Amino acid sequence: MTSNAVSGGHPPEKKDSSGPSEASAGLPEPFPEKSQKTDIVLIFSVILLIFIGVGMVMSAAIATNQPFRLFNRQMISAILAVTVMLVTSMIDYHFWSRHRFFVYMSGLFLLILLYVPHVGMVMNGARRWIHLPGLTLQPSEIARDAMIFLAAVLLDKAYRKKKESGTESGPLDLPVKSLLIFSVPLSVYCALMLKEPDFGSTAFMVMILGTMFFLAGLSWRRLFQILGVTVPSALLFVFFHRYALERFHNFTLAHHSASSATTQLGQSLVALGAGGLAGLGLGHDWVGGGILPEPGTDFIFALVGEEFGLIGTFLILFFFLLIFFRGMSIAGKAPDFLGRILAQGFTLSIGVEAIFNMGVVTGLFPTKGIPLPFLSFGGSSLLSNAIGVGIILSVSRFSRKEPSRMTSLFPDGAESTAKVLARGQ
Amino acid sequence: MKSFQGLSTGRRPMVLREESLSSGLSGEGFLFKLPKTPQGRFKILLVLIGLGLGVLVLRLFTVQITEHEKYLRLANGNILRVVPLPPLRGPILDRNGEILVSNNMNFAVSLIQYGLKDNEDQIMERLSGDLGVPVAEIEDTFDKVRDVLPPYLPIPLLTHLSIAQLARVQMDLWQLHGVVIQAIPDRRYTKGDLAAHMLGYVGSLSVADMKSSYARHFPPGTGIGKTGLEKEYDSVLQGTPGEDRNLVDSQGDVIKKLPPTLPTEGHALRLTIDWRLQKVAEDALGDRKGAVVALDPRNGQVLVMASHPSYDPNMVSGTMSHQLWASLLSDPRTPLSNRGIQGTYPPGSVFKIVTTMAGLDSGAIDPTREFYCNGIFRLHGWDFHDWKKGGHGHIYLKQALMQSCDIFFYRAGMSIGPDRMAAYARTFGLGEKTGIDLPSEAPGLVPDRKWKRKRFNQPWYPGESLPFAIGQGYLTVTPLQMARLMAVVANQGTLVTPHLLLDATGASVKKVATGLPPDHFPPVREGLWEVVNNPSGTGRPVKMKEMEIAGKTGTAQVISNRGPGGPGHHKIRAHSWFVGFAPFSDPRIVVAVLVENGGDGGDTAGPVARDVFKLFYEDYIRGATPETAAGAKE
Repeated sequence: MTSNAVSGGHPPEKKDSSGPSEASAGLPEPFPEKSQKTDIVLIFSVILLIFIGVGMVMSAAIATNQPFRLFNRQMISAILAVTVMLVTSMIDYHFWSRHRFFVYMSGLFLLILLYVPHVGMVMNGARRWIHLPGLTLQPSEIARDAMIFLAAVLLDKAYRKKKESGTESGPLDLPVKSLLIFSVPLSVYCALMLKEPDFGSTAFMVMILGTMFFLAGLSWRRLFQILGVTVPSALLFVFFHRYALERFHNFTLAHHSASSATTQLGQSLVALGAGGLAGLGLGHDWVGGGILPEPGTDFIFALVGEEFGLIGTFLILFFFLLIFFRGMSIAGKAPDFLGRILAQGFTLSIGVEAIFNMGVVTGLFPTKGIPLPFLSFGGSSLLSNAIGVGIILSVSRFSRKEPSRMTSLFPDGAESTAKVLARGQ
Repeated sequence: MKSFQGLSTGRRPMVLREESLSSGLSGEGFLFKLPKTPQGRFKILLVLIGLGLGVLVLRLFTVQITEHEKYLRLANGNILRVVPLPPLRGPILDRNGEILVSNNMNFAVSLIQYGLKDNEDQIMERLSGDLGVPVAEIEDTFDKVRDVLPPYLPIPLLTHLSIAQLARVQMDLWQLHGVVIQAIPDRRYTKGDLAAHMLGYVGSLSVADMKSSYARHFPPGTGIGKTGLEKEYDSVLQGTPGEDRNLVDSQGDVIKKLPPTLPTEGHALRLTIDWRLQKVAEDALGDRKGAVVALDPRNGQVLVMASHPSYDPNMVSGTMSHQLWASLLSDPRTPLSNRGIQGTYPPGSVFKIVTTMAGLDSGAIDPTREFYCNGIFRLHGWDFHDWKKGGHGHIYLKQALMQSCDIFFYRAGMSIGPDRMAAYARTFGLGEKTGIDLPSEAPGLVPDRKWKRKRFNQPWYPGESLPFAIGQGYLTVTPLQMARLMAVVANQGTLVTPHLLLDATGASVKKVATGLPPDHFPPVREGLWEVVNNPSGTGRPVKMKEMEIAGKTGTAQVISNRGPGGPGHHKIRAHSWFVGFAPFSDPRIVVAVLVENGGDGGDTAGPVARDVFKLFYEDYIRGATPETAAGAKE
């Protein structure tokens, strides 16, 4: 009966979309094997960006005494990140949802490590790194992955509940109780991250989670209630912690023409602008020569602009766009709600972070401390985004595995998709 | 937009499939049973992201294409270079306004990394020839900080240039690209080595300082306090750096000078020290190792803080030859340590004041009771001797203090016990830092049963109470603590916190009532009066006709005299102490003198204290210098 149902739904699709073959596959096997393979375009774009980043980091450090120091570290991080991405893509994403407590605890453990003496490092007045033998991690990056995951699990539960209760129409309803339960780990995470202090990362994470709720179809009423709690608390935090405001002040200062070469933002704009259409060439480092502080990290996009011009920046933008739409496409094709919301969440996290970072570099946003995914120097950000992509890939890989069995079992709702898939393996 | 199509193809079929699926089944909704809402929401998100993307693309286009010329000009040509200007450090004055520390002008040759291309070796070589300094030395200085500082900041290679060096560099400047001559203010200690330890010295920023949160933003060449008051009040003395603003071209050459913001000078420090008293104390101390501390018992203002041997901070501040520094560090006489607050010594008989107060309180001492001293105290078969062979005979408390009879205080100490004695010692501020506004103060040590158990894992032996009672054994104190102790006797019961900053508001005056019974002070004070004024008192050499002085001598044996050998069997000469106050009726000064290995307290330390008392009388009591109450750090 299921195959009937599926095939019955097929023809209109053909009419609607004139897209790639994967969508308009034959009837008896609606999900061709191609979709079970990893998404090559996505993998390719991500790996390309990662290695462009390695090159840019090298270029940023070329004028210093030890040009290979950062390069070597970033190279190791890159290889590690690609490996982690591929390994994560092999693992069924339901595996993580079964071990969600472990996911939460490991994120929490990393954050708590920040406050362990000799492990948590204080640099430039902020406690953001943990230092373990052989590696330095920024736990808030990893914690964001964990939070996106937990939010997806929460939404998935709510969705399944709704399905069981049989109310098909109307928005997704998330009971206040489960929202409160979810807010407990969230507040712990936020508190630990804010204490570092890392306001930028925290706000960004909360924003991504909110967007996930929004996309999941949460009722408008509930969304506004959530906004009503988070926005005032963020405002209160900014009011009591002036450093967040000071950045805003610096932002306004940078747009003052007299100081264009003295502030970080001003220098970033000079670097971008100097690049012109085609750029000044790889290794040409007015900025990398040390005028712009830390060119390899948050401001690496300015370096791209300087060396490769508008062509370079547009190319980077294009690849991010590609990643975004591939990710969203995988979300659309996901076999279950969990897969969809997971892919959406991680895609959003990468895409929005990229837009924010580019906005900062071009002087559109005052926020600071948000790296450019895959390109910026820093193993933690790389690792965190690689895990995200790995999970998206996992959704794409496991999506239409044994579709008939899945669809046949789905409606009775007694067994979760995870169990089904676990049995299927 | 291929990918976008991929998306829509990815989404649409699912919607429809699920709809048909649910309709074909029990009517349950899958994801898009409510197709309007989630899809609509996704569209909202797409529109938002598209909007952001549009703005971003537009912005990139503006910056990279439209304004390309302007930014290229900025990048290639005119760059604003901001070089911080070191401010003048605040001067330090004594209580009467005499300048103790001021600023000198000092010339430094500095190198700016930016604009330095591949001719670095050439420049270094030429500079080395002009300055007469080995190339390796200059390069070493440069390499230490080149990675720490931004490349446009001048890095001082050599400071304190002589006129000849200055002239040679100036002549070569046209071919030394990136080299600048800077005028950097420098510290001048006008009185030479006077009060050197207390004032401290200033050093140039170390690499660690440049990374520290405190000094990170200081311009290179700024002095930073390394010891003494220069360190303690560094943030007060440091002014605010100014900014020299220049437009420079890509070669680093100045095209146009912009109006600079001028540095603001640091605050001046007005000290409680009287430099004339300080000078007299240091002259009297001479070559001997020791310390003199004088303070006002009414409020804790420190009048004298001397320590010998000393050094000339003018030589230490700024550039100093490695040999000089090494010789200062390795000198067995430890000229760098401030003995007044860092030297810990057994207090010797001066501690009998504490034993007396403890004894009076606990009833172990009765000033009206006669005591017979035969010169030997016997405990568990050990003989403990008095410093005077044959003993002091029949005495009262007054005579016991006057002649510093050991047997009297042995007996008292036995019945008071170590813990109570330690408690009284702490009441007088021993065993803890006095809280003076100087860095690296030593707390000294007050032993008790608990400490003995912790330190040696041994019980307190009764025989150890005896040396404790006369200020020997484990007990150690600093000269400043002794002055503070005597201030309690002088002002009859108030523990003052010594301080060096003269403060018109009186906010720096901190007093704590010790809670000692006031009627126990007169017998002690009487005894201390006799020490100086009685012909047979141990402090007789201090006596002055014009002013009544009271005090206590101490001869602290350096090697413990516990055991059968008895006192006197030591190899090193004893430390001499004199701690006294004056005038007797209305004390205004407390003087503590310590001379290391000076021998007899009254004969060695006494005359030093007397010189200080004498000048104090002439200046403050007879009325040459009016009391300074006003004035503080501005």
